[in-house]
Amino acid sequence: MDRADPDLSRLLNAMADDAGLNHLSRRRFLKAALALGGTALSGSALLALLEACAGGSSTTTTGNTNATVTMAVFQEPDTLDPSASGLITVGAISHCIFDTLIWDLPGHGNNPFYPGLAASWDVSPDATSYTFKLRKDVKFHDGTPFNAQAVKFTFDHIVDPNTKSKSAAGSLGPYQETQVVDDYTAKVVFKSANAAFMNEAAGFGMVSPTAVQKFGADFGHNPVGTGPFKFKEYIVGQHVTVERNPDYNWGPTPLRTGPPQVKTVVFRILADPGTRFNALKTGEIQLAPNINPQDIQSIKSDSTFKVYNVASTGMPWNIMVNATKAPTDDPLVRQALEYATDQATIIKTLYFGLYTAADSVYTPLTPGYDPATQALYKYDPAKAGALLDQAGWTKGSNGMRQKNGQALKLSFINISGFGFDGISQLMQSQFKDVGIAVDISDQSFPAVADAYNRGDHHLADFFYYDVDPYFTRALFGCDQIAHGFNWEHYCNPDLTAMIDKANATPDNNARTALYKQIGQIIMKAAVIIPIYNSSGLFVGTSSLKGLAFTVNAFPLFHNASM
Amino acid sequence: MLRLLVRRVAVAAPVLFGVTVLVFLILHLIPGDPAQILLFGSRPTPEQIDQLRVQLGLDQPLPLQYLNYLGRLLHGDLGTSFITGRPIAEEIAARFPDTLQLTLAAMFVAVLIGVPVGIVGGVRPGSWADRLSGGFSILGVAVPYFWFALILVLVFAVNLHVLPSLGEGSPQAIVLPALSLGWGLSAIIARLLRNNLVEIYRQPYMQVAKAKGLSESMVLYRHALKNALIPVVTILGLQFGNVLSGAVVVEVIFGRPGIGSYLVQAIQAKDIPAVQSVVLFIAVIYIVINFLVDFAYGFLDPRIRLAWTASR
Repeated sequence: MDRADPDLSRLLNAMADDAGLNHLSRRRFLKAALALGGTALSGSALLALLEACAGGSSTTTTGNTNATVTMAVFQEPDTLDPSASGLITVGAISHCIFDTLIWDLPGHGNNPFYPGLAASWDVSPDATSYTFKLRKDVKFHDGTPFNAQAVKFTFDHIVDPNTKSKSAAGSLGPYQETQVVDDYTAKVVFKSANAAFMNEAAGFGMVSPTAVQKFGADFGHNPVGTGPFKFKEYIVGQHVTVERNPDYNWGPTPLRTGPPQVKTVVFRILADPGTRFNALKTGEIQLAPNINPQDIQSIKSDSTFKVYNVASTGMPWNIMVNATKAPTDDPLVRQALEYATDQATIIKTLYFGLYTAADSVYTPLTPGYDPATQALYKYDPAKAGALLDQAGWTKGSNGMRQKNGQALKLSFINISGFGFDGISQLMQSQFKDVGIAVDISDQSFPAVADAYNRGDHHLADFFYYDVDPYFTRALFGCDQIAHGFNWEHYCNPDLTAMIDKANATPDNNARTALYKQIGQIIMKAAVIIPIYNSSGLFVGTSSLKGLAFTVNAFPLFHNASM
Repeated sequence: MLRLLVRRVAVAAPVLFGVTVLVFLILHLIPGDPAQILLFGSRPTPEQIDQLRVQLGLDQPLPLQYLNYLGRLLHGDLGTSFITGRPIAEEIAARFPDTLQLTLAAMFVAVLIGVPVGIVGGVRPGSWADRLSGGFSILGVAVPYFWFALILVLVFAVNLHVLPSLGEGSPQAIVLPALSLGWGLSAIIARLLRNNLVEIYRQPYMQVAKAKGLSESMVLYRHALKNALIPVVTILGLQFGNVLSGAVVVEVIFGRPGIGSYLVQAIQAKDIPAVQSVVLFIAVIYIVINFLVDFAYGFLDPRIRLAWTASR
């Protein structure tokens, strides 16, 4: 159970962050949708776009070397220490100031990982330890040499209770220690198997031990890393500014190894999507996340703007179905719900078609996604009706279904302002079409978690970001019922064991194969109804070129030019 | 004068009391355990939750909790933001100058537009100039300032490119936010001044002034305007709080830093201690300003001072 706690907190964090994005009004709701965006581009088009964005590993300069790029961020940073922060906004800033041991860059060839501060790495067969051979030519912005001691310091800093890590400690998993094998070899050791670490490793920014010791709690306002940009200033309520690191020579090869082309990147705090859109139009900013869908429609064919619709990893926005409470304890009823849900209409109605329909427990970019799940539950109200007939729920004179005089009625406990308000209402009407009555009750965080844990609901809201499919353990593990995040109240001991096995399998292909099976089992059990795939959505001016994105849709300015 | 001060304080104190009670109750009116809400998203262990409950005094009876809360407030302790982990008093102090700057700029705009428009209408009642002035006032009061702000941005920033759309970063950046925030108040000032002037021009002493052979402008500046402006000054003071609270929305629209945009972000991030403290801060400013205006009003206008003295 030791392992479950960080996962639990990651889920809470993901939700807390996104609850922050989403608020009660329709406008904010739509904005929330766009926080994750949708993939209007097909996978291959996206790949082509990313390839086009990447300028290769050259250090040639194409744009103005004195240029400033201003990117809007939608919230104030909590702290600029990547080990402590729990906010999405800080991710973009962190990737400028800090480097990671390895890079995970989708769309740049078949190899998912590229050397970063580590030149090479090695995983133990039981997935409990990872040995990183480090580059020897790297210096932090304050002159501190980067070495194995700094790697150890960073991971120890993440798990230090004083850091109050809101996200990184959860991603790190069952960390035990880092052994300094020699000056440039660090061995990260876990208490138990943690194959997820390979994917997660691309997310930990290496911090300067000297600076953390010097600034203490103020490191969050004085971040020092090895990244392509040095921290310049953070004016509370206004902006964070970073400036080119002229000594940078260790960037990821698919992007740019040398110093960045632009001199300055300013992250301007602009909370309102309309404000961000106007500032894009006046040219005061060059890049913005979370623009309203209707505004994106208005500039779709305008060549002065470029829409970046970046696929992301994790669990799609979905509805969890309670497998213990009658009548959804009947697999036939759960399958009927899958067939009765028309994702395409939901996406078209609520998000102007900016998302792709989801069909699995994973988004397509997540390792373990199996395209075979697409064929599993195509929208088919007639089939839903037939399944319900088979289960004994027959249509009465009013068109609604009943069995032994009891109406087929489901309780949908919706987290208000969480991004599911519109989805729950559309599903209510879609279910009514096949004769299922749905009662929606809106509740708020964190009280709603108690209701979900008790199992008061038939239907519950959920989604989750992660770079590794191990998140399934916290959502479907038998030991996560009633006090974890198994809000489907679904226990399949074989499945739990299979997830544990996958996380102890360091070989990528073997792991992915296991996670494919896991995804199939979950979807066949019909305990979640996938709705749409989350992704990062940005609008930029076409003057900004060379932008790239991480696997979890954070923008990278390594090769950006103006 | 001292008795006047005491009386004004006696009126302000219960309001202040009510505000602190309401703000205190925000945390308790939200469903769920306050300690859990405050630690939400920071990986709390059950021990940490219990510890915070004791630390916040949540294990004590409600009235006692309130007294403790008041005690902390009196020591200037507004609590700690659970997003940034910094003292909220510092967060507010870092942002309030921006809000104050916007508020003062908006008041300045209001006077700059409102007073001339009011005079134009007041000296020639019934003329076309008066009708225009009246139309301006109706529009100013009827059109919501946030809508007006959006129109200003679209016209002057997006289409004409003469001013920035963001309200921070250059000296001219304050123009549009101040205009959108001050415009409603300028309409109120114009209408009030115009009506006062019309009233005053009917007074016998104005006839005397004219009979003395003073020029029209001398009559206006030395006699009419001086008297007509007294209620305007009052309105300016009383509206200060309204303009300040309007800054909340205008700051967000223009992406300006300030306690308004801080409040909105705190609400979005469920940073409850920050929401409590900013609401309390704005309420206290409101009360203090009203108190000062009330006080200054009596101090400036001899008639009112006399009336107060006579009533005692």
